[in-house]
Amino acid sequence: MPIQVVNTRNVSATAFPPGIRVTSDMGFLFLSGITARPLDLEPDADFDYPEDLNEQTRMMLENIQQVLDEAGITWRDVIKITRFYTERGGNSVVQEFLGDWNPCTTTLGVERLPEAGAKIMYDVIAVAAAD
Amino acid sequence: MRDLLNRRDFLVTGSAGMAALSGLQLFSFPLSVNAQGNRSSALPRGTYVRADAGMDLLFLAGATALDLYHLHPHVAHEVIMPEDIVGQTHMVMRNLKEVLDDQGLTWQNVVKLNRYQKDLSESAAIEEVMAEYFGYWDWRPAMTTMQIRNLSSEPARLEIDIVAAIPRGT
Repeated sequence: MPIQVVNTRNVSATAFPPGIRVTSDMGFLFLSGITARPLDLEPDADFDYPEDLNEQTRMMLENIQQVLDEAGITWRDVIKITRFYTERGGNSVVQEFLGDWNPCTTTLGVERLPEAGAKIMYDVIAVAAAD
Repeated sequence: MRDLLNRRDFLVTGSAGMAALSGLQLFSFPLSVNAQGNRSSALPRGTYVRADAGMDLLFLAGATALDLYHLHPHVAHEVIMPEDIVGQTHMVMRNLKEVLDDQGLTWQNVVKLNRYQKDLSESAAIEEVMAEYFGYWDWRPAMTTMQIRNLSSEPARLEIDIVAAIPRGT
């Protein structure tokens, strides 16, 4: 079966299964939540996020671009984006990177992000064939 | 010395890791290296994890400290969990492990992990517990952390959902 429901205790009455297993011929690329913070910055280095949301959005997308480049794929291979915002906007910048490609997207307005000053964070899943 | 508390580490570090699972190649690619080079101080996020083709994916439901199997809607007598985040994190990880065990998997199969926390200031304590399960981060899944106001039950402070990659035939 390409889709199999996991049932660890052989119980019959459960509203939600604890897991679902799928068979896939695709490779996948899972990215951590990415913000405007440069990827190569040392973890204890200070980083001041720009105030401007468009600027943060551009820096974040450039970071993601860097990861996609390293994996040898493009925005066209991105299938899912979960967007976390503390402030609305930045959409015009996104179009510069994604062009006419629209992956499925979930948008969440949040009170704060894990790093002080960050206004936007993307969580990206892409398909990536084996090397 | 731990520096997991430093939330500036948004993205990763530590040296590149590779999970040695037969028939499946998983690569965790940090784009920089932790200056300390100290495993216990290594940060728990891989910038990205690549799972090569020819595998199964296992999507796990979000787990809190509530028992893996419980009634819906929730009933008060089942909503029993410790108040402290360390105890809750252990219970969350054990719930996830029950599913991984059932499928013959380990934490090294986990490619993506999402953390939903009531309070981001508890991240260091959560990561300290998670490290025990993830071999002190000898393998790092891609990880995204978010703070939300409410979880599925009132006392829950942490929910985690994961995606695991499975070599064919496992």
